[in-house]
Amino acid sequence: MNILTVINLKKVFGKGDTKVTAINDVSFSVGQGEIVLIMGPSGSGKTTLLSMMGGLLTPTAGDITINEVNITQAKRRAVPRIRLYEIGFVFQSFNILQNLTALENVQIVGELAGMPSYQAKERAMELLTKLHMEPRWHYLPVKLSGGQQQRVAIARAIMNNPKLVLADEPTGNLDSKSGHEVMMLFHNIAKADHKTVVIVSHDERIKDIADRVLWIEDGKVSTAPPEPEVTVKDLVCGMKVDAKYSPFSTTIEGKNYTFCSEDCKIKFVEHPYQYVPTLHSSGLDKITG
Amino acid sequence: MKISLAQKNLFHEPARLLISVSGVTFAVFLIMILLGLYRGWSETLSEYIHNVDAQVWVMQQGSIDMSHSISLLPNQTADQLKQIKGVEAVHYLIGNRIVITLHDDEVSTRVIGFDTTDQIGKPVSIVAGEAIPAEGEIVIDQLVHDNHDVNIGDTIDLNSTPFTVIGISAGGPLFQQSYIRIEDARALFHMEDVSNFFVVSIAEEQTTTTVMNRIEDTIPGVDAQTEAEFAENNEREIMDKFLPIILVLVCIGFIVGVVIISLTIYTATIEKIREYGVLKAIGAPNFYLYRVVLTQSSIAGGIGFILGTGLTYFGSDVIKKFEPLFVTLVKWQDVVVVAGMTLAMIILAAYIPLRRMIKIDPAIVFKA
Repeated sequence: MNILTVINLKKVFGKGDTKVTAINDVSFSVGQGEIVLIMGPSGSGKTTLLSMMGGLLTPTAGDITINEVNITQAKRRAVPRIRLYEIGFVFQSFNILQNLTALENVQIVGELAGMPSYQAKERAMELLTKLHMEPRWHYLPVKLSGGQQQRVAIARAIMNNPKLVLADEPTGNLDSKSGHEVMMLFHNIAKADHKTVVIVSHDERIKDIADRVLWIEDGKVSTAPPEPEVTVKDLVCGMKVDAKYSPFSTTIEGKNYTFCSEDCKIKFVEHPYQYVPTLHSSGLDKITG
Repeated sequence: MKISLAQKNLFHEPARLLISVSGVTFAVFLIMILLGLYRGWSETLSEYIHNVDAQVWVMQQGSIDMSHSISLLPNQTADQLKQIKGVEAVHYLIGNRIVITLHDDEVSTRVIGFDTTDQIGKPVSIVAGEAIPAEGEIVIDQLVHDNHDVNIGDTIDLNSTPFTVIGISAGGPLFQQSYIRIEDARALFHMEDVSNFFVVSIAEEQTTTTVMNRIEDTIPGVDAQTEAEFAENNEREIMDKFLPIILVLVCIGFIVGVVIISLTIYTATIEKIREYGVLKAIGAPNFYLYRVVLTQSSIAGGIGFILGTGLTYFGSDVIKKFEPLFVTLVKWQDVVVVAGMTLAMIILAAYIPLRRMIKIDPAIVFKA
């Protein structure tokens, strides 16, 4: 059974010349108890995708269904309620409330969902005990380590028993040991509690617990990892340039040269023998591109 | 018990709470003390008139109060008044201001000469000594006693005439009032044939208005006012000049209160903007967040109101010890008015932070 389904999702920011397509026709689904890791370089659209899956950002087109509820078609006022009951969030910087104790940080989410106070407290205690936080129930966040804060955040995320947990770089601010512990917790949440976990991260270690890895680049998602980047040196300015994606290139005497910008390309074409001494001025008539 | 994020946030930062509460406390104190002063002064101004046991005051035509206009009527007017149907009794009253020297200080006092036989026009209340002076005796105001160290048994000179202090009174107007026999007053002010006012008692079966009309119709050149009208005229002459000033000061107090709570609640909201974003992201409804801000504002405002009210009652007594003219009277109606103003402060103070809160983008949580 699919808990999360994303169909033809698109997000465009800006208009006219400033228009940027952050997510471009993305479709995938995630089943119950599955852990999916979404990886990609900075600016690839990971956070935009996560924000839309979490109902925090409205897509330009497409549909997102969580536990059979289409959140893109839901009334705007209904979305917070869906988030409260169906989605748990875990953030890179923990984002737990600084004036509440560990226990209160978890309990308050249950109270928000209408749980009686004593019941919310009992469940928060139960969750924190499960996450080995019992001795620190009454500690304020400033007294907790990063790993402990992230455990509180995880307990908060599953307090209302959501079907889906979305995590944004959950190990990003943690040391190696704490990172592994958090990964183990996500594994348990998915496999023992049958929750669907979608993690957005750069952390290669998470691949070990993920059932699937999705790669996102330039707003597009694929199951295959991207081809390794091939960099060449711009002979004019000396910068490294991605040979595959740079639009500024030219061919002289059958050899391809790539540049960082149009400016470097023009300089090269005007006096190629300055940059490649083996070229002769007679070769200029053979420039293409 | 449910977790109150508002309380947690507010009490976690006692310095901010202290600033906020202090702002409201002083605003409430300022507003309440000004209203109290206004009420205290206005009631004090007319307390003596209300204490005179007669229904109608008769004075020279055109005269409206005891302070700002002069009323001089021949003593025969009393005989004319007695002839009017419905008039039961007529009493003479003399009241003039005079400057006396007490221990090298020049003091202005209003000397009231009243008929010590029927005792109409006697002091409002006596703090010490006796209320009814005999020949050559005077009852002085408590302010004279307090400020100029004049005591029972002392002798003071009024226009070179010595009077022995036999009593200390309270409850007169703000400017101190002293009391002597009417015969002594006539001699002192050379008013053997004239009086300032006649106070008239009305027979039970007559209406005051009917008798007043008869007085004005029968005796040319006099005005008749009921006790209430005369009291109101005496209050109005002074209080109308103070009211606009007091209103401006009340407005300033109100604005100060609003600004201080607004600033402290707003900065508290801005500092916690990310946390409110987190709450929005995890699904807290907007009204929950509004409640947090309103509760913070209400707690600060509520504590400030209670402390401000207490400070008014306590503070006004303390101030009065140092400045006897600081006469305040705070009635429950004033407390209700200030409570309403505090509520308005709370709502206005929460408005700007609430507007900011509406605009919080929950996606802020994904920014590292």
